[in-house]
Amino acid sequence: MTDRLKKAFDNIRAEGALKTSAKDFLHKEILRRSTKQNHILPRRVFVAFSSLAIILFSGGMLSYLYFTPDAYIDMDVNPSFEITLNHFDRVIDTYAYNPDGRQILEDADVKYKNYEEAVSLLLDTIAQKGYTQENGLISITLQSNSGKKETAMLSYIESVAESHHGTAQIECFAIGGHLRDTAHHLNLSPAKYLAIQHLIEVDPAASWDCCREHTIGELKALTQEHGGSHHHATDADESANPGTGEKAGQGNRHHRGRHHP
Amino acid sequence: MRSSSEADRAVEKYADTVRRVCFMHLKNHSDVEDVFQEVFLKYILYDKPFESDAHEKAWLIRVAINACKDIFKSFFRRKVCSFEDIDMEPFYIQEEDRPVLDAVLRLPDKYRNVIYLFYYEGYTAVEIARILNMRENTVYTWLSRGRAKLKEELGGELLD
Repeated sequence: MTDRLKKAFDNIRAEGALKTSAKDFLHKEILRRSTKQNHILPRRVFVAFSSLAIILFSGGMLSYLYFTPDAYIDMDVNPSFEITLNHFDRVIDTYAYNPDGRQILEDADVKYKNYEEAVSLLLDTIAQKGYTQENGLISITLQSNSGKKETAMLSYIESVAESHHGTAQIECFAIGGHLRDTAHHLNLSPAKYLAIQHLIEVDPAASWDCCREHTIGELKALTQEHGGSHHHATDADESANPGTGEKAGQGNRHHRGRHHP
Repeated sequence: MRSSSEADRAVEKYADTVRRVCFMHLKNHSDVEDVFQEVFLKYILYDKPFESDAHEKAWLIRVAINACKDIFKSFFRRKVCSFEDIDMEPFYIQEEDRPVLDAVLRLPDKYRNVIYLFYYEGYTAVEIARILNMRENTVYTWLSRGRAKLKEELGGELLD
């Protein structure tokens, strides 16, 4: 049986034409598929590079937004310092105007914290160190390029300051970028810069150098002694912003507004 | 993907084997050509190395049988394609061999495959079970039934 079947099936052989057409077909397929693969490779490389570029660009943009200053909050009690906020309202930098300010910044450790938590921590630390005693003055200034953000931040800072100030007076107001730059140039907080400026207006003998060691409270007292009014930074714009200004509460003076130099 | 020279070598070496599988299942020459090309296309796209020539041949037989089965899964082919009989085959078949081939072709598909693999290709039941992906006992059963049917068809001629 095996032999009969073998002999019968031996008749069946692939025709020459069938083999030739199969070979032609396979050669064409190999060529077509290898060409296609060569096209796919650059496309894959392109997609990979595009994805990488998008990731790097997004990362760069995020990094730029994160590390670009967007607002500045300066506090001056006697410890005097500034915190720099980014677009996401996080503290990205701190700067101390004096050794007391440096100590407060070190103790509070507010870097990369949200500004709400940072302001609260800083005021807590100031209170713990005993700087918010009776007749003391806490001056807080805010500089932001966004009016909407400025309003929201001022409201928050004011409310937090109220709960932390103890018996000290609070003044809290927004300033422009130019005033901040000028004050910074003299290594002064914007609030102290304004206080010295007002004192020099009524006492020409006063100088920037001799005044910088005084607290803002002392500078305001000297201004009053020389016949100047109790020159709060917000006085200038009280008429323009009648809704923002002096607040009375438990014997403290509380100021909020915007300074227009 | 394999190279053109590998494709040529495989066609030269296994063309007859694949053609016989096609002969057993297909009656239409254009189907034969399609399956023939498809089997060797799968071969050039199969990147894994074969353990031996025997392994390579068994792989091609299995692919060829499956490709033939797939042809008949097509509704269009089942309903439309014409059938040619053995006389229409393009190769010469000796007269004395025709009854044997006719008898094999009249067997049901399942018996035809095991009879061909066992008697012509010389595979054991275990190897056939592996190639056709079935149980060894089933192979024995089908072999026995296929053989019985062939005897029935060919009578004493088969025993000669």
